[in-house]
Amino acid sequence: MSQPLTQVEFEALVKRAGLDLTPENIADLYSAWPHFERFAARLRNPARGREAEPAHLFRPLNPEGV
Amino acid sequence: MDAFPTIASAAAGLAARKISPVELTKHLLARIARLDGQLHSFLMVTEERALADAKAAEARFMSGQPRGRLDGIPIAHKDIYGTAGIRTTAHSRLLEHNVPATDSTVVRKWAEAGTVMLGKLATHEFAMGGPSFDLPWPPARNPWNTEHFTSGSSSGTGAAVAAGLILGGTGSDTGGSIRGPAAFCGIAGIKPTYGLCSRAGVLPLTYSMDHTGPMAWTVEDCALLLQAMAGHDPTDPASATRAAPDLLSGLNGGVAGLRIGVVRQFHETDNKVNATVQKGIDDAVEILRNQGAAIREVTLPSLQDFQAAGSLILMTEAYALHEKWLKTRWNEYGELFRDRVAFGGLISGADYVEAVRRRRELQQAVAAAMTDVDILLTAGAPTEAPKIEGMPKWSSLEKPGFTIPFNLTGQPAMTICSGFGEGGLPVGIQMAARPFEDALLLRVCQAYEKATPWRGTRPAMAG
Repeated sequence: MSQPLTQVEFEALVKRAGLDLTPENIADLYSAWPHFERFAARLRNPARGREAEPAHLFRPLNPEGV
Repeated sequence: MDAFPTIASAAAGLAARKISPVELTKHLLARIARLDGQLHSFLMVTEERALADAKAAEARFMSGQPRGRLDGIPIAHKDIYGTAGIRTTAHSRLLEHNVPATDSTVVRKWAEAGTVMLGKLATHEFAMGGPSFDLPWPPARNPWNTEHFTSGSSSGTGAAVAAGLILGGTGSDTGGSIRGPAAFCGIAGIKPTYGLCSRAGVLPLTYSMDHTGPMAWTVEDCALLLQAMAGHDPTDPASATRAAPDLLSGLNGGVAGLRIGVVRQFHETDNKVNATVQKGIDDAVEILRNQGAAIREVTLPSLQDFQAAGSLILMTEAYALHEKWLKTRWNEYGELFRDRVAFGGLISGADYVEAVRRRRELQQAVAAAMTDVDILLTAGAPTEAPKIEGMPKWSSLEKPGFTIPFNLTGQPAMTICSGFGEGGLPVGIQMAARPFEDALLLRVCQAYEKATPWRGTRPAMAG
């Protein structure tokens, strides 16, 4: 999300998600979309190293599932 | 009988045979019948079940075999907690006729402790959104002023506890859904450490941020309820594999020697609170200092950073849970839930991964800050409750909340009443401890609560 989406681009995103929305719905959501662009921009940290992993813990499970 | 018993006082009365579980239950059922038409805190009152539970408790007391301090105590459950044979709707048209076959783990554990189930409580739809007026049931209203919002999503629990319709109840907290209503309704609510209490059988909003927890009038009541819900549950993949802590024996241990870190930047800069909330925080600092705590100032990453990571994770995970229905049954959802969660379908995979990477950094920053302090102190909410009608649809995206940081870090956090402001509406402070130091958190909140007069006032409409 480096560039703000135009409404046309936003409509394409909604369509790709498979949501069947009215033009009024789409316009309403588009009005709030800049908040999410702001959130996404805030998460990018150029100083973060490639090795900095997410807060997901992946542990292999044994056959008992633990 | 005291019109507003707490769990602790009722337990003492039951143990001394001064009141009976049936008498207590009938007292509360009468209050629900008299007052809930104004509050809408219940989606369903399970009167038959309640009386059966109460009679069973009474028989245990009569035979000298009560199960403990929760035996015979009337409670209710947020309507996302699965209840066997009893409708569990998430306050949504999509689950209007959903009847689970089994109890959620927490419901079962509270029942095994002897509680009396009065019914199922209002929530924001699927524990998010709200206040919504386009669902099959109206939203709960704030008993301090029924024209005002309860906050949510544990809206019914907040309203019912404050009005004295139940002695305690379940809530859930993904971004503040226990602590928000605790602040606006003037009660106590704790979001325990992630993994301390089972989520099994509770309708999920997200996979990595949902917490179950109790809400009640006092800190001690929350401790009693939390003690009965904590502990490992192999049916919840996030459940911590450790024994339930002792939350009660040290509750009155005081704060002498503890170090309290005030996160001023949160409530003075990142989301500046109003004068009443600020006074509540300042007074709490003095109260804790006077009791022997050392007060320090702590700086954490900006609330906006927590909001950014938390919002993207929450919306994306909620969308994944609801994707099928959002594509096929869009119009059956309430507007607020569906429109907020829809954004989760538009967020890229890379953005979600960046949010979860940022979450780790935020966890590490808070953990590092807590090497020098035992407790963090900030606001529970920025103001008193606003009016329920006419709230801006996207307001939750505009200013960062004070609660979501601790959903991201998983550490325990509690909101308690810290005074009353405009129109007699309550405000709340929030404190947080290190992961699995829930007992310490309760102890500090108890010390504050016992030193303040706020538990002596109930909403006028509840009188």
